[in-house]
Amino acid sequence: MKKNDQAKKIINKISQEEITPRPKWKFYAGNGFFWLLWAVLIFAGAVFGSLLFLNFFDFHPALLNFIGAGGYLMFILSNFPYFFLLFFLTFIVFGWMTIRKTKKGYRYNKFFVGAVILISVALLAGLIHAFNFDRKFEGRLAHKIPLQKNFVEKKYPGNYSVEKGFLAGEILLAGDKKLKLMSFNSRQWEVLYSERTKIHPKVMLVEGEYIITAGRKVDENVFEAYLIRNTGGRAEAGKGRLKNSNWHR
Amino acid sequence: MESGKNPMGDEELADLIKNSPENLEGLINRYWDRLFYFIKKVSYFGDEDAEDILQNVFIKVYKNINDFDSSMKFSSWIYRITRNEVVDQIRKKQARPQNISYDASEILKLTGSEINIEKDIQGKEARAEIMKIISGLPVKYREAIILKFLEEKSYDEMMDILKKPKGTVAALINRGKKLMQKEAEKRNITL
Repeated sequence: MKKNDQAKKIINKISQEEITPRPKWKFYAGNGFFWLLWAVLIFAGAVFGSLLFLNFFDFHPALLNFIGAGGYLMFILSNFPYFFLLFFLTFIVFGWMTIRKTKKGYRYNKFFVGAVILISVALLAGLIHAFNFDRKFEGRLAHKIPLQKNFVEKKYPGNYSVEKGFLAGEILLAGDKKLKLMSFNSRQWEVLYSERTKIHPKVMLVEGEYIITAGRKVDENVFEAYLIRNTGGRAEAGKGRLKNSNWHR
Repeated sequence: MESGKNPMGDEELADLIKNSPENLEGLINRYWDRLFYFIKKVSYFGDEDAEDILQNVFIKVYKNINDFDSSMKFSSWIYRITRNEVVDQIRKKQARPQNISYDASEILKLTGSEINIEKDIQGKEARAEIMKIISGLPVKYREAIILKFLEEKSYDEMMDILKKPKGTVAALINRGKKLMQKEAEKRNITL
């Protein structure tokens, strides 16, 4: 068939089938969807990135005095949130794939895309950490997901580490220079602290807060804390009980 | 539409198509032959199949005309639509490899061969063998080599047509050439 005939045939088909051009907004929406998905994935990656950051670097320097550099490394490796790492990497990889799916994504160099994603995630993760959202998120996860609770228990070990100088758990009652603490293995402890105890600036010694302490066992179920920091968790149910607490007064 | 000293550019034609499908005629006349032979070289389709594919291509051009933006050449955009349609049809029809016909100058462009194809009997045999080699290449390498050496597209244009980053485009061309050389060595042909 001749070219002109082909042209007529095509134009006739378009007219007969009433084919019309797809509106521009549909193309914008399609491309916008991928950018939105990318933003969501990067944000999610940043949340888990900040949790990893929290785990690695948010360590009070004084704690190193108790466990030493080797101990620190062992502590990190044995308690590293590999689960978070998996989520983090998954979001990063999907973020990378999503940007390639955008209209002009194929034009960008893959290393450039990777660098943009890493920088975006790092900046967002920094913000999330600066505003303390990572701690809150970690605490909420511990309350809502049984698997995460186990993970937090592992991360902030309970009774067995008392001999090594650690005690972690939920504050049941907050008193004057002493706390009543429920360790993760459901054992109650009295934690004593003094002016000399190094307390992390962000820690709140109030009922329902999760804390980790470094110090020594001084008596049966009595622990003297040299350092107190928070684990990021907060028992939601315990918030209201603080006002009625005799210990606090 | 193309008459006169200043023929209308592709982008201007594309703008006109938005107003009326009648304006497709100019584009069809301009691109029909180029795309027809491109389809024939990349695929194993006969004339009728190639024409059917082209009809679909121009209908898609009309449907998606609002998706075209001037950050790329219109020719790259229409080649992309064509290439995607060919790949779809190859998948659907599961066409079996047949020999694709190239003329002597095209063989030279594709291989850079020193063989005197026009005169030498051995050259003629070699040409047939080279056609078989090109026909036997996987589509992704064949289309990259055809775009580069027959259609003479730049890397940027190929990137837009294949929707792949420049590095991948370069890798496809290199890998395709190596596959051709390897196959030629097996057949005692020097490329």
